[in-house]
Amino acid sequence: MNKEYDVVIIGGGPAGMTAAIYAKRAALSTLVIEKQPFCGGQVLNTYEVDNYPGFPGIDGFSLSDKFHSHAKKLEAEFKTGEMKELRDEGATKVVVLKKGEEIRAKAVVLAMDDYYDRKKSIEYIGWIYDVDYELLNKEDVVQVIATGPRCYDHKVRLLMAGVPEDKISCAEEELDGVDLIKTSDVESVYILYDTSTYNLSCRMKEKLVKNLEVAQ
Amino acid sequence: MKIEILYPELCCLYGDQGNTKFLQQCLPDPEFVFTGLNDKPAFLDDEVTLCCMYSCSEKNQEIILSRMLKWKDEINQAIASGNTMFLLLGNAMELFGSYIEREDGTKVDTLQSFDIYTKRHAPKRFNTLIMSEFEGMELLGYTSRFSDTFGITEDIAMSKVKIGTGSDGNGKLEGIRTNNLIGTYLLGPLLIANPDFTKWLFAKLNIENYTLPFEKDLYKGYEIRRKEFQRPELVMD
Repeated sequence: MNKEYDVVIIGGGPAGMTAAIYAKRAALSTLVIEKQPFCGGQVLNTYEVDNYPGFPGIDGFSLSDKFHSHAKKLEAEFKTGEMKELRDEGATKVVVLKKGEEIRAKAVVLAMDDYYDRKKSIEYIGWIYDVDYELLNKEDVVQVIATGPRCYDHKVRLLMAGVPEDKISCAEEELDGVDLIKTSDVESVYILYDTSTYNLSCRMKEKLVKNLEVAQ
Repeated sequence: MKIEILYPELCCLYGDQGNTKFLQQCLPDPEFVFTGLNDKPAFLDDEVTLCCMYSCSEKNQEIILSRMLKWKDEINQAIASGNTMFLLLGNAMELFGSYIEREDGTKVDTLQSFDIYTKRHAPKRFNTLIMSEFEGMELLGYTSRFSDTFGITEDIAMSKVKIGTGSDGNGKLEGIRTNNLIGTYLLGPLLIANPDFTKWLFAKLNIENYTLPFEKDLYKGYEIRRKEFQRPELVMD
């Protein structure tokens, strides 16, 4: 029978690596499974992380590398792979990877991008009334595109903030929103995303780059 | 027309204040009164059409009650008189029950306007999406709280829950309603999220000269959320 870990952590972002550090400090055998070749998740692509205590101005890659080194120093194990299935066999949990490998653990910590779980929930719109959309009501903001299933809720909030309606576009599918960008009119494009849609924002960026290449 | 917002400095969780912004844009010439913690509620002395109170922390509930209990009889007379419509969101309605029981079993004195009572269960937070039926419409919302309220009977329930869980954390009766008071655990921008409810409220207040701003987009957002509630894979908490 394969080795059974005390803890298997799915996701090697800051949360997953922090969980690994805590688990190892509790003397638990620990494996972190990350689908990308480098651990770090979203923070890897963050230019500057200026709110992490003790590391003012550090770039995301370096900070992630410190997390990784810390966990490695405590002898947490790391593996590249993507979970396909999680099976509960009572005292043992079985993580099945896409390539078919099965990894056994007493406990599994899920610390991954939850974007793909969104069909199981409905985003609560209260938070958008705690955010200053009024900051987008500026002359130099020439276009605001609200995307995703909440796009009309965002549009209402933007209108309440005074953003002129002719500056606002909506796309119920996020990637469709990229096609609405008036690239000839803008100097810069900012993609605002939440912590669970980082990968989606990357796909939007890739699509925008392709659109720009075609336009040239 | 005068609209009073009670204790906005403390009752401002979950985007509740979006309702105030929305009302300001719906009504042509409203006078808003923002009653602070050390002020006497305006509806006790003035003609107030609508009085709104939103959700707050449990500690702030007790601070607010320390002020409101001074006017307990007057407040209950005002509710009974029916001159002002009250809209209580989130845990605001708990202040109007018989008591709130803390986690340690001790009780917080409340306004005793209704024969309902609340039990807190922190640190266990109860979250659920809610679709409920109210006056033939489907109210959509969300609750997040460290308490449940008991004693709500069919005759005083605001709505019947179709998806999610009622005010006692178990049943299907949600919120309280009398002739001129609506209390619901639904949080946040209820009036924006439910444009038909807002229209109902204005009709109840005999307000005809209002504009529902951005009405087309309000309904588009509502319809998408309503369809999402029908998904079989929906997880309620």
